[in-house]
Amino acid sequence: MLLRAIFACLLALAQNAFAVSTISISADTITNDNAVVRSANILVDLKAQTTYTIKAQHIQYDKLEARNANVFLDYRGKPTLTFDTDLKQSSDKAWAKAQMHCLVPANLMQEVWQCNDGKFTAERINLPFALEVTPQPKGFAANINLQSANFSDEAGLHAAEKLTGHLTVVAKQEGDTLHFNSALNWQSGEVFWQPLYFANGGHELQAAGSLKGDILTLDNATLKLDKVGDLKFSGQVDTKTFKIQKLNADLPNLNLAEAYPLLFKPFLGKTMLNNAELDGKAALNVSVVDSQIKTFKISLKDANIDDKNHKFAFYNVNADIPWSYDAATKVSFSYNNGQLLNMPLGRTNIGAEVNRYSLVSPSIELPILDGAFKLSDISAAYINDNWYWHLRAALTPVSMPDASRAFKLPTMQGKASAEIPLVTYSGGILTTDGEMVLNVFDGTATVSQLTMQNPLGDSPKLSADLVLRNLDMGSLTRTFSFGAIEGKLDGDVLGLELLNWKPVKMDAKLQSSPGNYLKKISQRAVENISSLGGAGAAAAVQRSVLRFFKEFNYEKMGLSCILRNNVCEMSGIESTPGGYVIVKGSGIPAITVLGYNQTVGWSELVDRIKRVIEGNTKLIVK
Amino acid sequence: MKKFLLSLLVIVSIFTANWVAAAADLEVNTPAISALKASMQARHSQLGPFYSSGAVGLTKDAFIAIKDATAVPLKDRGGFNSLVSAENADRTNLYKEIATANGHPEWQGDIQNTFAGRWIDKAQSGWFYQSGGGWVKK
Amino acid sequence: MKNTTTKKWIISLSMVAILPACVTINIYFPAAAAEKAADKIIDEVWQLKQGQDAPADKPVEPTPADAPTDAPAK
Repeated sequence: MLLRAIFACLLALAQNAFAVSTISISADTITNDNAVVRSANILVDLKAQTTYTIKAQHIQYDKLEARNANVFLDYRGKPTLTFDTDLKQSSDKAWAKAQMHCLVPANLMQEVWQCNDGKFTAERINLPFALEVTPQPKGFAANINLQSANFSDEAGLHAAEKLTGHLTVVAKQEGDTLHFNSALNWQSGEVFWQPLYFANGGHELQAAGSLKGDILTLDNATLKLDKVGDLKFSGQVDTKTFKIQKLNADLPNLNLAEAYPLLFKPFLGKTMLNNAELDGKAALNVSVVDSQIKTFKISLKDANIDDKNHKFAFYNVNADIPWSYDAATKVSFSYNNGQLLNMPLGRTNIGAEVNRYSLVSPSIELPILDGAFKLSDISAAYINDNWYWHLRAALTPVSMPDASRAFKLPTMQGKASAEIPLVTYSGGILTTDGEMVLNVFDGTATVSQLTMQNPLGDSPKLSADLVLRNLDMGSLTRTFSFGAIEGKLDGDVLGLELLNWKPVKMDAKLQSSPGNYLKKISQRAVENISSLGGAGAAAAVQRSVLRFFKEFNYEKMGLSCILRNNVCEMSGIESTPGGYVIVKGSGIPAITVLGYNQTVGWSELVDRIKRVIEGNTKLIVK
Repeated sequence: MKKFLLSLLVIVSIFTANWVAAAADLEVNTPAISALKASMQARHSQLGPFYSSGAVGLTKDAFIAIKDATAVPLKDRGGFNSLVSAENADRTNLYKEIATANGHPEWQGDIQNTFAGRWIDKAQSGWFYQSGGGWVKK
Repeated sequence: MKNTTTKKWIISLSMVAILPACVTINIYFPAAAAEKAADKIIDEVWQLKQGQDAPADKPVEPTPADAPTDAPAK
């Protein structure tokens, strides 16, 4: 108000006082509403045509501060307005510089103000811009061009380089409502907005809506992401609390190959999906009311998901997943083929009914190799950001030769099948009740008490009890090239814990099964068993008379290992002073193999076993 | 003579006591710890230049933090960020694993404190570390 | 006389029994051992070897080649 009064006074002076050529007005402090101007100086030069120079040392407006402000109004030719100032928010330490040069139109309130050479610079900001503003009744139309702008925050987590773009805004005040229609065209330049990175421009945003109080209403908005897809949305948001009161968003055609690295991957940080390759199409539709998702629908069309760590892959995925807060929906998910931890998966169709946060399905069949994993009575619930589910599972016989090929193991004979009455998943841990029975090597391997933690994650954990009964050592030793042993093997591996699929803890005991059967051990096997206990023992066999015999009878054999902290505490079928018996011979010639190493480093033991197996393989090759 | 026997017994008992304390030497190497070390070692070839350029620094709580990412090209910044958070996830697990492997999960905090000092002590000159409220160049 | 001897023996025996027991319960954090363990791990992770002052990573400006491979590539 005060400023206006001064201007009125100046104009009056200019018209009446002929003898005056310059007028200078100084003020220590000018206060107007919440603006405070200190050390202001206005100089009016009346020679020829008029120029106005307005200087202010310090201006405070709300939370905005300016210093060394210069405004120069020049009416000598075409009227121009030039201003420059230092600018900052009161809370900031560093000052930014702003400058602009405008052509003042003859009709201030109706014609275009053209401003060029606009520049906003600060320590990490350089925004050159050009501006065109046309005042309109109760509003304005503005055109802003950004030319090769750079900005960054202090840590560099939100930054842009060589950003060139164009923004048009048309705004109009009607009562207490501001109506706007804006279009943002990001032409080129790269942007990193933690965690998203856009290498290039070519994206557009159009939005029309209104602002009333704190409520922003978007009547229709379109975000066009180059090569990725178009997102149409409308809704209402409280700009103070960022609460979404209403939102409808539709993404009818999303290109997964482009969208995955750009939009999904940055958010999938440590999940199992963070290093995959995707292609195919997806569609997404969401509606939100009062910050609560009311309905959504995700569709996948011929999508391929391929984990680059080769932990899983699904090909030709088609999915139709509708969801509603209020009503139950039927979802379907299918894939043609794929693999899970190297286990080939056959064509699968999954159907389920979803009711708000729970899911039920009577049965799902996952074909695996020549058998199938049959899940039934499935129910799952999502409670407090955690999944809980339980189901019954059965594995119809899978032939072991195929399975061992899939897992890159020596070819094993037999069939594996399982019946698990209850599988539960809760708090990230998968637990099974019941047993999985694998019929291998003419005997049985029973897995029970199986629990798993993030099997597809970075450090999968597994614990289980494994019981082996009556395994045929003949075919076992042939399969693993260990030197021939005839007989049957029992084993108890209790409290087995695997981390990253490597044993870290177990109480393991392997021994010949009780009963009467052919018990023979070859000299090679004796040597191999001996060399597991370190060098020396094997050499002793070589040097002794026993080397004349190809095989020996045994009465009993066994070896056990209690694994803790990477150290295996070894023992045999019985202990002797300072050692233990691994093989107890019988008949003539009888041989007894003794072990003396009570503790062996686990990795050392694994290396020894590997060397034995590899060494023997080489022998066979010769 | 009896006094001698008595002191001998006390000495023996002290030795027994020492043996109990020395059993916890912390230099365990479980598969989990080896895996973490291997993963951190592999990552270090990528992180090394970032320590030198001051993009990351060592924090006083035995982690690393982004100090100034502006030296990193924009297109690499996302990867740089995940590198830092992956390193910190590994470090958390490492401290936890060492504590549990020693049968004393409650030592995790002490182990972390020990590491905090050692990382900084062993850092190359030119690297940044947190001290008091700010970053210091070593 | 005999009584005192017996007493002394009882005291010493009970000390022998109690002392280790006490220490076993109060396992304190072995700071020195922890430092040694930490040093060993840091040497491995940063590949610091004695008598080799310059480790693999020289102070260089990050170049695209040094950049993490898991940056969005496509």
